[in-house]
Amino acid sequence: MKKSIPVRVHIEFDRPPDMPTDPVELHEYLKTRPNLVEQLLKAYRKAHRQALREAQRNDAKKNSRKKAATRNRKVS
Amino acid sequence: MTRRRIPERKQRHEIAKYLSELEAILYGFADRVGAVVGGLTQEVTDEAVGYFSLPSRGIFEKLTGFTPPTGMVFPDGSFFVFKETIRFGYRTGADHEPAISPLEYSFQYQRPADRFYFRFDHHPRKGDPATHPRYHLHSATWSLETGKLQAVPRYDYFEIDLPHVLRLIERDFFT
Repeated sequence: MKKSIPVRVHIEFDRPPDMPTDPVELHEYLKTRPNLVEQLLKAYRKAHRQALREAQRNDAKKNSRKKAATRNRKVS
Repeated sequence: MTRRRIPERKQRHEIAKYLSELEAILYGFADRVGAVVGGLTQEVTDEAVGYFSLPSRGIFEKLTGFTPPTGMVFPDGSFFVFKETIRFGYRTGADHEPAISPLEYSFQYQRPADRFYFRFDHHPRKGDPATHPRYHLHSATWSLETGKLQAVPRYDYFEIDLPHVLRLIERDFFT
């Protein structure tokens, strides 16, 4: 199983002008807007998947470089 | 007044809806304050119980002051982890309308640089009610030698939810 790395999840989203940012107010707002919740989640999950894939790729590269460095040290 | 029975399908639907709202709020919050997120998990069981955690339900047993930042990690190195178990139904015998209610939760925010953490807890099946108020708050430090989080004091507190905890973190540490 690939390890879960914390990643930055950023989306560009045209917020409705009346959409609050405060988490408590936002929760009240979203309760009556299931379509908006769906749109937001779709965008955030996609952004999360992409960011995670990239982080895992970078992590794998870093690890293989480390292994190679250790191998080279042993040889010399 | 007789209360109607809530079909399990309806219960699961309401729980899934609630968890989706929280997930959207959580990602939006992290995006706004520049935090990174890893290991968000949610599940609705066949018995209509909802689990929501970041990063995993088991982590609370292992958390110490030396735990590397995990869950939601803020730009200053502080981090937020939580677990919550919920159901949908009548909260008390007097309720006319069903609602989402927590069966248990832990919301923990930790600041390694300041050697400080706080945690809102509700775990009615754990501990002696005489020393564990039903809803309580830990706000303390940890041992320099072992990293063990101080369990006391346990401040008697009222029920709190994820959006209110996020509001508190943002207001007190990121504005």
